[in-house]
Amino acid sequence: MRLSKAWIVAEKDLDEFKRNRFIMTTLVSMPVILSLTPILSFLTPMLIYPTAIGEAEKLSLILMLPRFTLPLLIMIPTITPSMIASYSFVGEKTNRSLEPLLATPTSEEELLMGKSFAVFMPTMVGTWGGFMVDMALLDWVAYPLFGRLIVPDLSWAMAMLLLSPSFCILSIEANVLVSSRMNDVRAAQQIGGLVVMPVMLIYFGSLTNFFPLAPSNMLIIFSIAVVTVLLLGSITKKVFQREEILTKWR
Amino acid sequence: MGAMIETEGLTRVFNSTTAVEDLTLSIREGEVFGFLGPNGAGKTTTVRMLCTLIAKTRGMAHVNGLDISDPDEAMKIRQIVGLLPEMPGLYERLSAYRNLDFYGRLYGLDETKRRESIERFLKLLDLWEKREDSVATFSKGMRQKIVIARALIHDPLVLFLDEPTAGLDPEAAKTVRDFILELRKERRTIFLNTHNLDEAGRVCDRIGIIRTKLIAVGTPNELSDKLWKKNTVVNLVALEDHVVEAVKRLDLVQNVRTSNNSLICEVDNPEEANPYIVEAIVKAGGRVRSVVELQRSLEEVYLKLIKEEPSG
Repeated sequence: MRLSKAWIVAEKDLDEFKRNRFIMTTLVSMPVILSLTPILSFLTPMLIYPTAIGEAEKLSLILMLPRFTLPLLIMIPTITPSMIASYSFVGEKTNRSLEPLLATPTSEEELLMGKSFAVFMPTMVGTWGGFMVDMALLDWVAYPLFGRLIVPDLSWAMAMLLLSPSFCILSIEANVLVSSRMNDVRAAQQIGGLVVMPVMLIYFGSLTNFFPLAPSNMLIIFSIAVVTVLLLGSITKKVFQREEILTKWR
Repeated sequence: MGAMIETEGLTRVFNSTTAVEDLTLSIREGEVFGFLGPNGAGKTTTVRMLCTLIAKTRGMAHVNGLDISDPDEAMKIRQIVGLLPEMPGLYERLSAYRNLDFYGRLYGLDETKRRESIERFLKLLDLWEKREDSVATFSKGMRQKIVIARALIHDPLVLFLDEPTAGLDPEAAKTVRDFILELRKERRTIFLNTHNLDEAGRVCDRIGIIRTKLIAVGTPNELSDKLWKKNTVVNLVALEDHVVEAVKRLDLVQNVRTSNNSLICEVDNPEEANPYIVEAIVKAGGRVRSVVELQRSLEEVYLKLIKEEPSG
């Protein structure tokens, strides 16, 4: 596989994304909503009514905040691709631009890699941006009280560097598969969005302390994600074949 | 000149449906070959197989000597062919220039070559001034011009055009046709799928008529000759019986019909027979206004062939 060819495809897709208001809104709003909502909903009452909450409760709340925000942050790389990847693949299909593209001396792997890369990059920028914002806010509040940075810790580092990229790839793969059977971008987005369900389970598991996002549990999740990525990857490669796309994609 | 496209027994079956059966063709380098057939006759499937987009079920095919079923050679085929598919498939949000630049890069052209090629085609197609406009703002005709430029950006040896004028207004269709004629002058091999018989008759050197199987192949005249005897039409000032009898007596004339003041003479070789026909008419006292060879239109040829052939 020639990465230079994949990059040409990725650049073109990124160029299209920049000109698509829906995609740009998604790319910006997802990280903003998912990273800021939990923190602001906790911090705002403390800032508006500083005396309403006792010092001890305040410290406990702040220490709990990373646990609440982390599951939401790992939803960003899961949800965002479902919005963009459906557009990228179904859009290309409904626009009938796949046929001339497949007629060029570019392999299916290069096309798939390029298109996936175009979704992966902005998603991860948004995701890590969300992580950065949350870390800055949390430490800004926590540092004066604890005299140390409370994030990133090992869990956050693992979420950023292991879970987020793997969830993002998983979501892209799932959406390529969904796109091969759908002709409507919105329908593909809705079905592709179901990939967030397992992450929702992680979210509730973490909130209820039934399955906290501790490093050991995160390693388990990451292992499952990697196996699923490999499994879905081989199916995706089979689906993303010239013959398959031109004769079976509906 | 050697064959640029060669197929032998090329067949494609989708599940239980045969789209193309036993197609044997040879298209010379520099030839404009028209592929005619009703909807679902296998024209697009043939083009897709030759462009290595879909696999064949049986048979063999070579483009510029490269085997379509060999994965390495398939990649080389994609480098030397240009495809204009039925649907334009342009990136609406991108500019005309960016659309072409993207394809130029995929075909491996360096920046200078890309820029030169894009400028050449956009100027030729009268779109240079609109190069930075988004394709979404273009008319159907303008889009089709961009698609043609896209198919030619890498200077392909073979150009596959699938219904290039379908859905275009007469003016845009004429521009596209004129452009095909320009390409013909460059001796580029062109494989043209079309429903437009007039267009095929005007731009193609040879025609193939397909309905799952190849029904006939040849120049429009050759196809006509296979179906009908040649006819010489002699327009007379007045039609008289003894003139008709004089022509009927000629050995070179197989059959004579009359229509108004015209004699329609069925002959094997008009060039040989016509002087004798005129001589016999004049000797019999007839006065000749004009002598023409009866030409069958491609439409007549096509409809007769399609009607005679049971659907596949």
